[in-house]
Amino acid sequence: MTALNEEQSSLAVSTGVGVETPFKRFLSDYKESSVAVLGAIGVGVVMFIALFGPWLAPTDPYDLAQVSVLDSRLTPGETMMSGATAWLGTDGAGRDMLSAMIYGMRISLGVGIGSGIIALMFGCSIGLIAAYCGGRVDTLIMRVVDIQLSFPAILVALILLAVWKVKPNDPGYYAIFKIIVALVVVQWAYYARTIRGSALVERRKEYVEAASSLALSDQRVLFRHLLPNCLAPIIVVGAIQTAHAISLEATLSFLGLGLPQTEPSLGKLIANGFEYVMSGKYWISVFPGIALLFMIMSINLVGDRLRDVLNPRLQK
Amino acid sequence: MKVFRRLGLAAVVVTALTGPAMAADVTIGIRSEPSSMDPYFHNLGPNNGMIGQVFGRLVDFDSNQQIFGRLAESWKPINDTTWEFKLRKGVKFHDGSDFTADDVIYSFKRADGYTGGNSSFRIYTKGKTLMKIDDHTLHIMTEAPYPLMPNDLTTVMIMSSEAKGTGKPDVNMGIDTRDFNDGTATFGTGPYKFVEWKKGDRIVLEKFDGYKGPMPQPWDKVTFKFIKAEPARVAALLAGDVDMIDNVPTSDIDTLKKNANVALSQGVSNRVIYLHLDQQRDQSPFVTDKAGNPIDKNPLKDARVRKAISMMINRPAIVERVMEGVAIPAGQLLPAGFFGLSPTLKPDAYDVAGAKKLLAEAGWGDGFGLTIHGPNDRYINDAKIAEAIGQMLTAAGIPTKVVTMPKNVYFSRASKGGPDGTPEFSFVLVGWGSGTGEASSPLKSLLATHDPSKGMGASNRGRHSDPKVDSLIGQALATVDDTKRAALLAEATDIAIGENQGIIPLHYQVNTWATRKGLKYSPRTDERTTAYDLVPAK
Repeated sequence: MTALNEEQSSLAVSTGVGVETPFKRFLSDYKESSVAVLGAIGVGVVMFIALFGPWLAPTDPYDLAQVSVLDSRLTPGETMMSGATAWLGTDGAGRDMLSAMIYGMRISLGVGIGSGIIALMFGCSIGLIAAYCGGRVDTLIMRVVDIQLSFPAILVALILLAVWKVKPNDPGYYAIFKIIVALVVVQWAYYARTIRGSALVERRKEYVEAASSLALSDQRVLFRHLLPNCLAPIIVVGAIQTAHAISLEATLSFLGLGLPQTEPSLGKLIANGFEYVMSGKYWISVFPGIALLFMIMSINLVGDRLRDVLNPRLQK
Repeated sequence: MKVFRRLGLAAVVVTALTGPAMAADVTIGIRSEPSSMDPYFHNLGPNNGMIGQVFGRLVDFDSNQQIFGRLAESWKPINDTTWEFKLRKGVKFHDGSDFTADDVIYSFKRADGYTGGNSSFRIYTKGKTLMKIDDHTLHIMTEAPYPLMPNDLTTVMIMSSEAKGTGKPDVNMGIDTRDFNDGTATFGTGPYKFVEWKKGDRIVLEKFDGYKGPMPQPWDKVTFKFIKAEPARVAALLAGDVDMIDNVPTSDIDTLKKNANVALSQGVSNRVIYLHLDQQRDQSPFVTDKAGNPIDKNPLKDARVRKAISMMINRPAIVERVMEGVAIPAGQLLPAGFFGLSPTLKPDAYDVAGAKKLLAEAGWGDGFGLTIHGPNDRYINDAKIAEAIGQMLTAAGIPTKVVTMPKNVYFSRASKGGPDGTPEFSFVLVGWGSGTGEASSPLKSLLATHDPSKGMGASNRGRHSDPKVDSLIGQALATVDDTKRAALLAEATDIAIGENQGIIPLHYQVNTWATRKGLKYSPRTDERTTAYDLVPAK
């Protein structure tokens, strides 16, 4: 496989224009799919909104002093008591939907990426150790992974959040922290299993043997030699899992677990709007629904393309 | 009282006569599934409504909570401490056995000694001694005069003393809760027989042909379907899957009003939605400074602070914007028309400037922080009410966090989740429906000093305590004269709410039922959804 890759890259260098770094080659491969480019733009937009949300949003939907129940259920385009226009209407508590969605996307994306990165670091370390040590350690770790994966993710997260009570005077970010921990717990096993698979293959290769025979420390072999060569599948799993985490967080919020009533994420906004579905107040659930769909679809499109580009077996 | 009783009975008989002549089935979509079919397992609205159709009570409430005789034909006090009940003759249980005074005594015994239930009927059986005079005459004795005897007896359902169960002989008379849930022991004297209960799906009842009594039997077969999600219940009615639904969501009332195929019926309930404030602890867990740090004084112990909080709440705005007009602002424990109300107590007016002045007088002019806890699936729009209160208090200078949770988690934490079984929270949103249909029930449970051994203050989660209030309630409970008792109850309310602000009343719930065109439901103040209050419209 490596031989094939080397052959290909040398081919690329000999026929390519100028100096072609692996990153440039990756970019040109990625750009072949226009849908995936749209996905990437979508992810960019979402990131931008999430990063600059407080400056973009017309009001602060989480500041109870700024939200008034007297503004509740305004149709899109109506004017609120403060004089501002609610472009996407307001929900049952009088929050401006546009602001609430921007803040909701911040939470969703933050929780998705945050839990993804922690789960990735944790899962990868465990998976690498399993592959590198082999034997009993490997068996033990992989059985734990098996058990973990045999439980539906939503069930594990639900139980965790139900058991883990918020204590008096816990700071506000504690609720988000709880959700992130729950999502890490349900996700790490995917990373561990993925990286173990590719690490087992890489481990038998000459360069690892060479590194070991230079008497480098286990740690150095693991993280400086083995890990970088196993990254491709992890990046793909990471993208897909982030989308998964976002939808899981939305589901938990929809079920009423997780964030406080006054700080709705997208899932909670949809749940609130669900009550108004029969009365024709479509905007309370439809707009956050579209926002959630847009986020998850963009990330999935990028993840899909990454899988195609980074998978050597699919390369022409 | 007697005239009212007759009127109530007449109303029931008239509805019975106008019932349909043909065989008819009906399907009713209800929000809350009962927790058991055992009449003494759980003193809970959905249970009492459902089981009351299968089991009879000595006396019962009509839809306006007026008392009429059900298994008792007549009743009167024969001396200061004894009530005599004449029982209806020729009444049979669904298993064919005869109804006599023995069954009443047996039922009280099982209710009084019930173990393992979610909440108990002991508050209604306590201190009452039953004595059989003959098969159809019963004396009930108390230590002191007890004018509320008939009201208390509207709660305890009567089962057959010949019922057999599969439980341990020394627990609950050998009859287990599951024997009622699967039909083994579910034999009452009510107008409807129990057919089956598919958990999470439906309960099916069937007309009891041998029924003798005042309740109408408009339907041959009644199916209660449990549809918890609000929009789904409305959708089921519109699609014709069910003939009636209860708890119509306030957001859908306008749309349904315009629909020619649907008829709505609406009525004020006996339930007040209100706030408890921690008046016991010096350091209350959810009272903080404005930044959220613990403080070592509890401002809620000061009546002026409680009054100020009440004045920061814009009740008309909650009724208009959260309840969509379907509720009545509250200033005391029961809406107009009920017995024992204060004639002077009005809902506190929305007055932020006045509230801030009061706070400053109490030494809390800089404000403090609060967390309001509430259920999100128990009362109409409960989570939204909590959020609106959070907004109003925050805007008025008391930054308030809002935490809501499902009722099965919420109530046990709110009542006994703290250390040593104390209430866990500091500021809670709850509702109380008066089971006796007058003011002594909420006064006793919510505002009397918490003392489980006396059955007082059982749901007093703020631990309000005032000896003056306690003594007035005690006097009222032993006063036979209606006018005097009403005055005592009114005075107790005036002190406990008007002066002490022991709780903060928000609004009285208004309940809405929706039927398909051609049916008519008499809205019940006790919020129950029953087959015998549903009749074909003429």
